Amino acid sequence: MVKAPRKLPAARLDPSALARKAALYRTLLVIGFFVLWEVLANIGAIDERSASKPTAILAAFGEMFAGNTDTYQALSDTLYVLVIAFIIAVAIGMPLGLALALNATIREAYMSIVIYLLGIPKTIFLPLFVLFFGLGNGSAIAFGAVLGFLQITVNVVAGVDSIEPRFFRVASAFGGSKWHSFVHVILPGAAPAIFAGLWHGVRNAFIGVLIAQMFVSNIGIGYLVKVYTNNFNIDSAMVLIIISAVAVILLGTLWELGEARLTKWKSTVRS
Amino acid sequence: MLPNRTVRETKETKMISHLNVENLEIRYNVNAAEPAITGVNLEIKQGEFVTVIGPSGCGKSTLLHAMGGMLSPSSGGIYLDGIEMARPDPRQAAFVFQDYSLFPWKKVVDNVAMGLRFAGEDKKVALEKARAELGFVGLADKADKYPGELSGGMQQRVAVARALALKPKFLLMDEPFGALDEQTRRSLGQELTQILHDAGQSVVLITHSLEEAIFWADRIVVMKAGPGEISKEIVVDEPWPRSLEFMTTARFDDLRAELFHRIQPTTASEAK
Ligand SMILES: Nc1ncnc2c1ncn2[C@@H]1O[C@H](COP(=O)(O)OP(=O)(O)OP(=O)(O)O)[C@@H](O)[C@H]1O
Ligand SMILES: [Mg+2]
Repeated sequence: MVKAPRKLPAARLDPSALARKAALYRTLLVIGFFVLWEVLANIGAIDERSASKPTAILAAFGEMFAGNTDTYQALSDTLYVLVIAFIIAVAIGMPLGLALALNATIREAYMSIVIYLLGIPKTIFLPLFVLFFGLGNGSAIAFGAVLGFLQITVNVVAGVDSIEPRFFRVASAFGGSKWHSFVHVILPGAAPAIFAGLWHGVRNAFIGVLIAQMFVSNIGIGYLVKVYTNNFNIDSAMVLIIISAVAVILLGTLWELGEARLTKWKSTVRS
Repeated sequence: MLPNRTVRETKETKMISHLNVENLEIRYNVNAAEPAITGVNLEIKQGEFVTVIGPSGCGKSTLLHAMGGMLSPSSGGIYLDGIEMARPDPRQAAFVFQDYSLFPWKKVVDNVAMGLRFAGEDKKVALEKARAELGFVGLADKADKYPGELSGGMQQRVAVARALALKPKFLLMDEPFGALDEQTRRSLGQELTQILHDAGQSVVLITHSLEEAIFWADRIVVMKAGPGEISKEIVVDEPWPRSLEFMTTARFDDLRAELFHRIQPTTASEAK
């Protein structure tokens, strides 16, 4: 297996050196961003009261985690709601995706509805969720679950569709039952797409939860961000926003590592 | 090598299996003007090495798939020792497909063990047998790789091992080396067909190489298109083992010339 000669200059560095250099560049950009923000706020080019500044956020960070139990409460409330929403999203999205992918009648009947729901901005339905699920956690869970399951469903369908028919032919030629096909062809063949779907599912469920908490709930990070912003406590709002962003980035990285481990074969397939 | 191939046992007990194709017609589409194949009669005895040759689209793959129970006949039938082949049974007839069709998500050894596992064999036993079969095709050291890490030729060896792992009575090979480069095709084809021959494995081999079709065959089945039918069966009574000298004989040349004319697409419909 001779590798094609590498011609692109960008690929000439050995991969680990490239990764180290890229990480350095990335860190410089992030530091540069915060330094610029600080400087612009200090010279008055941006309004510190509405845009805050890094040193103020850092101070607020310490305060919020030192004495204030609201922060811990909001974080744990949101995590709890997100986990429940995601579990519901998976419980609906996976079987629904498989049913749509494997049954022609079900697909014909319902796929267009799923695509339609995926396409429209779902935030306009938020008031309906309040009517059905109230102002507490219920709305946030339901809204997060809806945003999450749609993503999971379409990715499962796409994953099963991407499996080449010859693999089903082989399974049947070797005496495989429908169940064998499901376990040995459909699940592993669709696994990469299912992984991607679960990731988009978590992300969207989180977005759903935050939006619901922000607009129709009185619990959680979303709600606190709204309260802090309305009270011009921008530093504290920024802390929560940054924590949320970092959490999503960390989760994404962990997800990628997990996926790489579980679908190791994927890297061996040459196109 | 393979001391206990089924054929050896059955020869001793005088129980030779027969695979019979009787008046077979296959239509992929009820509305199609013409069946893919029609009026096919063929008998394969266990221990025989039969090659199938014919112009592209004449129904070779269709016939082979039907023989392995993968297609339901529009009329006629496939019988193994008098019992209709209603569904694929890889212990009776196992396939090697043209595209390698190994599962990229299973390690090589798991690909080979697949048929045994489907048949309900214990996992440990199946994996042991799979490793033995990989040794048989010279790939013992690749057992724990993924197919994507192997060359095309190696992947096709694995596909052969996967079929042989079930100790099938009949091995059905659909242009198994067609997707390989010329060099690999020749050497691998030579090596594997030799192994199968030595083992006394019954084989039905689709090929588009005239030389392959003649050299390895106890019998050549020649097909024609429009509609797909068997136009002739030619017995090659050259004794075994055959040396490469056989390819230089006048008999070989005559056979090659006959096959050449029979499989020309233009003359195929006249050759009856
Ligand atoms: N799944 C299918 N559905 C509909 N028609 C098919 C299908 N498979 C094959 N056919 C048709 O049946 C006929 C025979 O095809 P088949 O694949 O058996 O030919 P072949 O002799 O194996 O050709 P080749 O040498 O190109 O592999 C062709 O006309 C083909 O278009
Ligand atoms: Mg074919």
